[in-house]
Amino acid sequence: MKKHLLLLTNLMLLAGVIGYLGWQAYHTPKIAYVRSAELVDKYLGVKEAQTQFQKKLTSWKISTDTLQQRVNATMNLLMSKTSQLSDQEKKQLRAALQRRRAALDRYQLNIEKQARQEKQKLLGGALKQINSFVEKYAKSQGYDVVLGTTESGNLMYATKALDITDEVLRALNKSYKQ
Amino acid sequence: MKKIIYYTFLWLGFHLLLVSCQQKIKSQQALYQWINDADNGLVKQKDLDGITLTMKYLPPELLVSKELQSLKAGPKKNDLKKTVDSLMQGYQNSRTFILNLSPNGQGKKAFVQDILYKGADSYAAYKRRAMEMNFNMANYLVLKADGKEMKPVLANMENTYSLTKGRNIYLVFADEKDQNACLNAQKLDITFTDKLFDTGIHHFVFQKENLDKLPQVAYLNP
Repeated sequence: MKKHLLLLTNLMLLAGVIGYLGWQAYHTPKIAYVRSAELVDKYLGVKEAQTQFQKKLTSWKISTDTLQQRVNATMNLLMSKTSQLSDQEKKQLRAALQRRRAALDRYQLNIEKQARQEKQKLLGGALKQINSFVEKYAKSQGYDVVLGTTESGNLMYATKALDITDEVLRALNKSYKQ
Repeated sequence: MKKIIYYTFLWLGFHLLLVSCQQKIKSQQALYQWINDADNGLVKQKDLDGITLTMKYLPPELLVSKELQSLKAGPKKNDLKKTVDSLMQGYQNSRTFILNLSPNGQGKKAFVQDILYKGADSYAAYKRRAMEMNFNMANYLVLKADGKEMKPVLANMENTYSLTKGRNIYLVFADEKDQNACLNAQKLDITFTDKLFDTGIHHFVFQKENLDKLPQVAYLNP
């Protein structure tokens, strides 16, 4: 009788341990991390946004150069022909130079503002795409937490096995061109 | 001799079976269903930041069908073929798509208002967006047909009179110099650079084999 009781107790204990381990395995949050900087750098959406932004910058630079050339030409004229010009002509040229400089300054200020906005629109949009994709990917793969490492070191240590950067990047770039 | 007759009938029967098994679209509703079935490759969708972006190909058959429906008195049965042929000619040399921008999300993330208001923090921002979507959508879209780039020849936002939260933009692409560039390209990649809702650059890629594999639309071919 005692023997049976001991066996039963042991079996119950074993069942309890197995049950606890099973429960723990089921409830352990699934965690992974991605190397954020690499994800952003290698995402096709970011690369295309940067290319578009560079194109826009180049076109703005051409306009700035044209305005700058006008300023330079007026200044050269004023410097080289000072002795030959009448006071009235000098006055007119100085006024023209001032106007052109002001136009150039205005344009440059405007371009700087536009460039900031353009960058924000293009790159900000690409970052939104990454965040949205990582959320969907994590849900579909059953991850509870996906950490993003940064160069400033918000993650002190994690085993390489938890690094899902490559697989996320592959899936992200695949979905971008679909 | 008997064998020859037997095999001839067998061969004819087999072909009859093949012909009868070919899918046919018998109504406009069935046509819509076929187009909206994602497996047929005519609809591409992206979701992010509370917005769903859907790009759908509208085959010439659907455009003709809609136009026929809009005619107050439909053509007589004898004239139907003539009318269909004439309308088809108008639509066959271009590719028509519809871009739908709709708010999505659930619970707290749900955006209940018209998409035009999304993220617009002032009347000026709303007005700018409305103007851009009404008159300048062509600036944000480009079609790459096997590497050749073309802007839409028509980009028209549908007026919904606030009856829906989303907006439809009709897009028609046609290469004026080389008609076949758009029609014969194996891959059509529509790029939408979204500077209206700041969701980045989106690619909607369609394969020619999918665009051209529409089954016979029986009700247009009596």
